[in-house]
Amino acid sequence: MKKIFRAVIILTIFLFPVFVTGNNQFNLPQVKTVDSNGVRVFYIQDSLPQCLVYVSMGAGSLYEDASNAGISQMLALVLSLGGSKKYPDINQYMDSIGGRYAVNASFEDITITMRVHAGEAETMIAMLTDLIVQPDINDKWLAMARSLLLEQIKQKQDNPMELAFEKARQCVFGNTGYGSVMTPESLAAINTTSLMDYWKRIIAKKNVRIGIVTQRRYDDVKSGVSGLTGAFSDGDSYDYSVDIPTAVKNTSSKTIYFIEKDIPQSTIVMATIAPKIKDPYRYALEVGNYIFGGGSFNSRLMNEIRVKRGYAYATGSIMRFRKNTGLFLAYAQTQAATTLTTVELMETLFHEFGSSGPVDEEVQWAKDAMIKSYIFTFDSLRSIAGYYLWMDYHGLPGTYINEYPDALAKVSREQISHAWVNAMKGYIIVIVGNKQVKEHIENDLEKNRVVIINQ
Amino acid sequence: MKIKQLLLLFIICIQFIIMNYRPSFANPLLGNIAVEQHVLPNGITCLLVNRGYTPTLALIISFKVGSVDENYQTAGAAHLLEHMMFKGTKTIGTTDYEKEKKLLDAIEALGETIDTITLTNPDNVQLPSLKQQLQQLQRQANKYAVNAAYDAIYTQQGGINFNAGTSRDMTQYYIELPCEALELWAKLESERIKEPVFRQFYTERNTVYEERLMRYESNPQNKLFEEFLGIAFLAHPYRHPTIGYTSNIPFLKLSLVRSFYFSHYTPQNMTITVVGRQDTKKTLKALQTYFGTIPPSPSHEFVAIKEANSSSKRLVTVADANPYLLMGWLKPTMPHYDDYVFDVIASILSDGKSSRLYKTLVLDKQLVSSVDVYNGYPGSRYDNLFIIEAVPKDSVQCDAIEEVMYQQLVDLTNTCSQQEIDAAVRRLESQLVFDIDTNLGVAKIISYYQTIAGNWRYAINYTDMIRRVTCNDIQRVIKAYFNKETASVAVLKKVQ
Repeated sequence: MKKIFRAVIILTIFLFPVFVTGNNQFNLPQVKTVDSNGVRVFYIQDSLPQCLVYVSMGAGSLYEDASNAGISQMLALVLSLGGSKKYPDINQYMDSIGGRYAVNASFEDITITMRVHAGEAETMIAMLTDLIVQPDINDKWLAMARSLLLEQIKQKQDNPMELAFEKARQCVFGNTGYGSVMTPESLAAINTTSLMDYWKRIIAKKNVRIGIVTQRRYDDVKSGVSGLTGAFSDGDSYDYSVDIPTAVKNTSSKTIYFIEKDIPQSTIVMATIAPKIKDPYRYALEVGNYIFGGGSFNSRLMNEIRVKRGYAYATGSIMRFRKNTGLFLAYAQTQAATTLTTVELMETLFHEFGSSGPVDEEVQWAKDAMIKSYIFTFDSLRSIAGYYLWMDYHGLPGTYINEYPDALAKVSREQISHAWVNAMKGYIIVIVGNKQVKEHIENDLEKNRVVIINQ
Repeated sequence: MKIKQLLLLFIICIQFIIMNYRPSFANPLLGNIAVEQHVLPNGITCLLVNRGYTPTLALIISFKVGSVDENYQTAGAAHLLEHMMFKGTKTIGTTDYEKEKKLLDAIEALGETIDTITLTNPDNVQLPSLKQQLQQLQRQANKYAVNAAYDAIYTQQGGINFNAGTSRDMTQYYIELPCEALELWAKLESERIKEPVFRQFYTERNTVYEERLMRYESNPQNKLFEEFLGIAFLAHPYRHPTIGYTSNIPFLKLSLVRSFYFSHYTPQNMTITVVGRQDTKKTLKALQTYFGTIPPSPSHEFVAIKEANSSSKRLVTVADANPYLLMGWLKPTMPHYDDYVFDVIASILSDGKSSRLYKTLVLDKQLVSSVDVYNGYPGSRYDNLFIIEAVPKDSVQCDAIEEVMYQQLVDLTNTCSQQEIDAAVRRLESQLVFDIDTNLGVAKIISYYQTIAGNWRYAINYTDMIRRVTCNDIQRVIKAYFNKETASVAVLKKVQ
């Protein structure tokens, strides 16, 4: 108990970042950054009568491989079902006061979110603290979580887009990190001991960051926060590695993987590895992706596939820059008859973008759009808190808030072309489609490019 | 006709004087959010909220028109019209409207001919050459078209979430923009509402067809949901899918879509919501300047169909997909008191992991992997459904789940407590607070209630109303509405 209530604040920084957008300059709400017991805490005062706490831990599917695929999701589900030993009825309590409690696992984090009326802040923080110290990880919740995740695996088969995205990541990265996919076998291998070991590994202070948004003053919740941060263990930050040479090799052949499904519309996903967040090509590629497929109706994919030809309703591209790697995905959903034409179009657009690059007008449009819309990243206190957690995880300084639009502004057409050619050398394509599409693929494409996957 | 229009204008002016400049409204639950309501002389309702710290605005234009206002002939028209509203005007989205117009007229005439022949005489030998002619005309017209013109303008201003949505009840056009773009937005939006040009119609109709393939034909659960509404509503247009049918989208006429626009996109049906950092007087002036010139016109007719609570209907579909169960009961819509009672029942049954259905069906009996309850589907302008949906686990029969559902309703009747109701009320209240932490969140809530209920204050009064709900109400409503004899049930079975 002494540990929990020991003195807290070693360093407190008050941040009022001046934010410039278009013709506007304004101060973001005060973000108080506190080093509490070695844990970074980002506090923002709210006018709404609520208390929202995020506890974010470095973990997630990028940290997994074939041997433990799904462990992050399993842990998140067990925690969200079971709660803590002192508060086994955490869900009942939160439901009774109109609060929200969720534990979610993503690619790079497991985040516990609690949101209650401001008056319940102390109770909520006490619950969180107990959850960190003694989570109720037992056989009952493990079996329940496993059973629900097995259902999730089955239900994924009904969602062609999810199926195609997952398979595309796997084809690029193999069975680790982005490519790790939970299976009945990997879930069966997880037990309470491995889950508890995983939990202990990720609750190291250096691996944790906390965001708090509440109407209550920081001094009112300081004692509770100190107890919470004191509950985390000492130890190093958890990290993951990526086998980049293998991913580059996997994408060099431009293989087309086909999964047969009896549906009238095909899902096409083109995928390749992208650089990590601190890569020098990052800003140029981000602007490039906006022009290629990320930037709404005027992006090349949208314009050529949907607006001009009406081949697809959903088309676009996504580029994600993570801590140690990145991912590029371009997608389109089109009926069987236009599947191969759309694949050809996507490939042509991809190659053209590399060989000719964007035009100056496109670059200016993309930069204007990205810089001016950046302000919406901060349109709620919740999103500001989330942004600070994200920056902290990636080791980005507080000044990054203003450095980001400056870096975008400096991107040139030449830089985009150079980055695209150098960073996006190959790709693979996954198609989920019906028998008719399979016949077209087998008849019309080079045999050595196609791999039929039996699900 | 002139006298009629003058009379209408007079009535609207009186309404304008009565309704404008009401004092701002603040509610303890909603903090310091104050809504200003104004009605322009032509009948457009404007809701303005000055809030937030970032110099940004959430802007929504909503029309009280959706697929419920369609018939079999026009099914999908409201949604396709929403798509067409992004195609520009005589000055936006074109490089030379004079020349383009001649081609657009020719495309429309030829397109309708092709549709008619395809429907009535698909083997007609002239069809391929007519299609070729159409493609040629489209290519010529496309030379004058500027694709995605609004999107280019708005994104360059830093706009995000520029999109629209059509439901059974309403159509909404929304965007978030930096404050300084307000005037530009008002100019662009008022022009597109006043004189849209429906260019690239047949390409867009094809895009909608692809949307339908994505949302329904490739998604067995959504497809079942659509068919379920078809058996729950035998006559009422709530049975129509908003997107239209696979069988009718390829033949939707541009003339029908245009006619739908003229009859439904009227000032009386329209609400403009602006939420964010602003001088509301300046905002109102801009709205008056640009939207005030839209001529008033009468509202469209009410759907004069009262769906009867007929005998139980059951649909079983077999597909290569995981099992899925839907159960629904017809009930009154807002502002009927029972609608509030249904909201509380829904919360007790499925809101949170300690809710009755989640606890029983997912955790204790382990019959399903998920269970959800919706009150007020598929819309709220007319009587609607209370729906329970569940995803059964392997080898669990839907009949068994249905029995447990009814048993749960009986249990709720017997063991309902005020404590449980209070918790449900707190959850519903919290949700309201949680939803209003962004400009868009506030805008969506007040815009929705103004459009559907005719009064944004419904959101405020709502919390008072649900606090009145008692155990007696819950017992009475369960007894009155949740009958096996009148339920609609749809089951998706996995093909063996």
